[in-house]
Amino acid sequence: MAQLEDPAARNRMPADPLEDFFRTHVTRRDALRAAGGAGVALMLGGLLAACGDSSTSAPSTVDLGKLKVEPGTDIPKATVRYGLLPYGDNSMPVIGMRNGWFEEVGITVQPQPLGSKVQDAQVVPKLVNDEIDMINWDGTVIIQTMTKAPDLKMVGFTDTYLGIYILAAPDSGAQTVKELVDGGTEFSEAMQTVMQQLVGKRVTLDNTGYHKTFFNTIFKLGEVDPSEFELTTIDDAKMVQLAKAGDTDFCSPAGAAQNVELLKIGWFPIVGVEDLLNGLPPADPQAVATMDHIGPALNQKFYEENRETVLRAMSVNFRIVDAIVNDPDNTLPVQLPYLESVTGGSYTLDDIKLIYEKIDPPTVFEDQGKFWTDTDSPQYYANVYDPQIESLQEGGVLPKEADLDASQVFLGTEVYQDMLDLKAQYEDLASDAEDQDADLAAQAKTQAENRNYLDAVRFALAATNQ
Amino acid sequence: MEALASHGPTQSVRRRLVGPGLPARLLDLLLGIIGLGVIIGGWWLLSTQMQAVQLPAPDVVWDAMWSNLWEMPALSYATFQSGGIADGLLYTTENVFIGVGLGLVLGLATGLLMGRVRLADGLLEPVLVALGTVPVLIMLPFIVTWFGTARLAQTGLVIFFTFVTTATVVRNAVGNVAGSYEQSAAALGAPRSMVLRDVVLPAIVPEVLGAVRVCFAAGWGFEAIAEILGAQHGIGRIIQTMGTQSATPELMASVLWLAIVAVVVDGLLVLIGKWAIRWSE
Amino acid sequence: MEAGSNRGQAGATSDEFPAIQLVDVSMDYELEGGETVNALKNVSLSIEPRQFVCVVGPSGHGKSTMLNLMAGFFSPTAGQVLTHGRPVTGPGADRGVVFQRDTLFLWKRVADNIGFGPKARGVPKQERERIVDSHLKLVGLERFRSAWPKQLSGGMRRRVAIAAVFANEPKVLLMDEPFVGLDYVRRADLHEVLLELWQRSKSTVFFITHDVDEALALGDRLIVVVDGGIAHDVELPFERPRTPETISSEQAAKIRLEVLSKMHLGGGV
Repeated sequence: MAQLEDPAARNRMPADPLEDFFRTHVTRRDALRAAGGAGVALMLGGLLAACGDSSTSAPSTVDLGKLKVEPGTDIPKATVRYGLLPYGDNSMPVIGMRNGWFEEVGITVQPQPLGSKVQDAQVVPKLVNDEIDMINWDGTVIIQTMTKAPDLKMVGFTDTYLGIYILAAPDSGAQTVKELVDGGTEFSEAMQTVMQQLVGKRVTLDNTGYHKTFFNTIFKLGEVDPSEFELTTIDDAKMVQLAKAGDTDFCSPAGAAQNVELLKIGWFPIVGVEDLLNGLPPADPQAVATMDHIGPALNQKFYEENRETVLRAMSVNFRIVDAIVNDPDNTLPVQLPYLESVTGGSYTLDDIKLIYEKIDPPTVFEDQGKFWTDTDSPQYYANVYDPQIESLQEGGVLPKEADLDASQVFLGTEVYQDMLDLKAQYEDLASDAEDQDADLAAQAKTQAENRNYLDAVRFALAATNQ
Repeated sequence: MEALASHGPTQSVRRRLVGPGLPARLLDLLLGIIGLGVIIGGWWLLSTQMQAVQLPAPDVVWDAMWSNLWEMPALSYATFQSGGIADGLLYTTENVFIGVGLGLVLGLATGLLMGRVRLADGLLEPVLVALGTVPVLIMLPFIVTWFGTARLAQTGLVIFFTFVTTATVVRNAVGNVAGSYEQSAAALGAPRSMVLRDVVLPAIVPEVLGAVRVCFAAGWGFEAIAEILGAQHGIGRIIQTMGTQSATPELMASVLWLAIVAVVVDGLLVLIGKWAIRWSE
Repeated sequence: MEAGSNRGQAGATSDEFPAIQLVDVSMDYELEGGETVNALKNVSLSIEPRQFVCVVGPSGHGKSTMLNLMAGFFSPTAGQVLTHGRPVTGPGADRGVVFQRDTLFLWKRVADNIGFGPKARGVPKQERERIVDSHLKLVGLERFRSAWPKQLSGGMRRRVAIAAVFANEPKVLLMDEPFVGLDYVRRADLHEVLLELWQRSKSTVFFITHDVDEALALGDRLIVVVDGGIAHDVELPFERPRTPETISSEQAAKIRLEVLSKMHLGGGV
């Protein structure tokens, strides 16, 4: 019906501005447009998909060739923006920073004094956006991003992370694989008995997917399916809260410190990576595929442009490992306050020793061949990570079509070989150097003892005038 | 006559550009398409300059949107759950509707009470004003502490925001209605209950609808954030997991689907609103 | 005064009492700044049943306050307001009000607006329909039964408002400048409708207006309110129906002059 006259505008009540806005600006056109806009977006997307190229890039391997070493009498200065994750072993570099060991090899850590704190979710962005140069990261994690951020590489391992357990509540009376096997039960039967205990109970696992291989393996060996539990996947901080509040029956935190926190209040492991390593046949891919290693990660470009700095940084990491293994009582207290401040827990020296003895055992330089050169070793990096990469491809986390393998991510072989070569070269030159220039030779020896074989060789070369 | 004149310069500009032959609606649609095309084109250009993990190309995200809709292997890998983006969307959408619904009922009741009963208004107004100044996200830790990861924890923010907004809008609207319509109704002999039902409630519908629209728009965001921080299901959960895996295309795909749902719901609200206030000038 | 009750009116009627009575009524408002405004000062007024009283006076001098007191929207600071002998305690269907502003319920169609009062009084549906139909006819809007108020012009809305009030068959009809802003032709139209309804319903009308001519055209009695008090109170003994000639007559001109001078004398501003 048409209006015959200006409606009683003068007599209208004052309108609410919001109401006015919607009435004057929202017309049927707007509703249609909203729907139409969405539809058009979808159409355009389809058009682009037709002409787009959607391949995912597999990372390239890196081979820098033989290292050229020039003689020198001092160590060039460099800056490394170091990041630290809030976990025990990942923050091991703190020991080097507090003791000035990085400075001794010419490296200034930025930002002072202890680098930058980095959360799990920030590692990739910070590396990709070039906000940090190096960070001690996890092998199981870096492979998950290998096609998404193909330039990220890991140059070595400091320790092995064995701390993947299923923990049971203190008063649960649950049976453990270890006690069953020690008592004479067969491993496979022990696995089934122990895993059956989870059926119908509240189980809390970490939400990162980093330990998926371990869980898959124990579920398979135990012949249970996650759908049979009351399963929650959640981050470590909340998991510890739930456990302390008695709101879960079984749990598996991702971080060593968090595991220790629960172990201290009576939670105990019913099954862990060690059980698999002990119970399965040697070098069984099922067991090794559950392992995780921690070591420095960086951008490929940083390694290519700062090869010597990276070698020096690695040497500090090895020096830290030496200190932890040989003299834990004097070395570890330095890391304690840092660990407490980043995890929010409170730990004693014994707790931290436990972390490095049982959960994250470090590997000294001499033994590193089991990772990088001894291809038959169960912990050879490809033996551990190729199956994990495959599992990720099957699981849809990495693209199935891509041709991926561990050598595209782990550069430890080249780096370790470089250091082995340098060590050998130094040992060749050592006695000559001492004869020719006792001072320089002494400096070279110090560097060698601190695992900095690069500068040991440089000083030795200078001492022998080569 | 004035009633037929254009709504300002836009219409006359349109006529000059296009001539009398092309209907305004078609032109709007074309302009919309061009605008979107520019955005997507810009996105595509930018993505060639950045790494895939920072900004994937539009076609990659498009693929991710469809291949992850019903099943999301990357999600199942980390969470042991089956289902894809659609399942997450359903959970999130349910929560938003429940949250807005509850907040609406509580806010309506409170606003009416405050608008009609002096004592209630005196008591509650300072409370409402104080609550209105609280940045909603600040409430999240409280809600998590009180409700854990239960469904209520995720809808809590939505309920809170909707309640505060609706109560305030309704209280003010009722204040506007009183003194004019109410007097008229009283002089026609209507008892107080009839005044509430037949006069106050219909009179405030336009304001309430405006509030509902705003609450939904904000609700999607609050719900997603609450889910990111502690849910077992929902779009926020998916976003959090994809973030952990640096799976940027899947992450963007999830966000885009959420945006589409939000736009569709808003469109429906507008249509419903149009019908509900078809009597208004 | 006539004996006997008028059928269909809300409540029993008693023609012994005045339809409206103000007894020494004062009304004070407090402004925000703390000042007090004396809107009405010791006003006494008596209006007999079935009278059509028109009230004129400068703005802000108390006319609307008087109407609001009669309607029962608030209570006087001092004095008493009575209707048909009983004190006014609040608004009610016995005193219908037509406001200056448009207070039609926009969310109800015309028929539902008109039927609102009867519905409030519990009148059953069929009877209600009958009342609505008859009043639509009386105001000449049968074709617009199902229209929304927004579809009607200002004049038509006024008609609906009047119909809605009369549908309740109030004994007293209070009208606060109801036809302001309408042009002469529409207004004449509405005058016809109003007068017809008044005579049919035999109700009492209290009609505020700015326009002295309108008062002359409608009322039996003309009251001038100035500065919170009654400055002039005169009968309008003209015959009905009133014509342009009536209003232009000598007697009318004399009354107009009196009224205007009263307004000038007392009026501040």
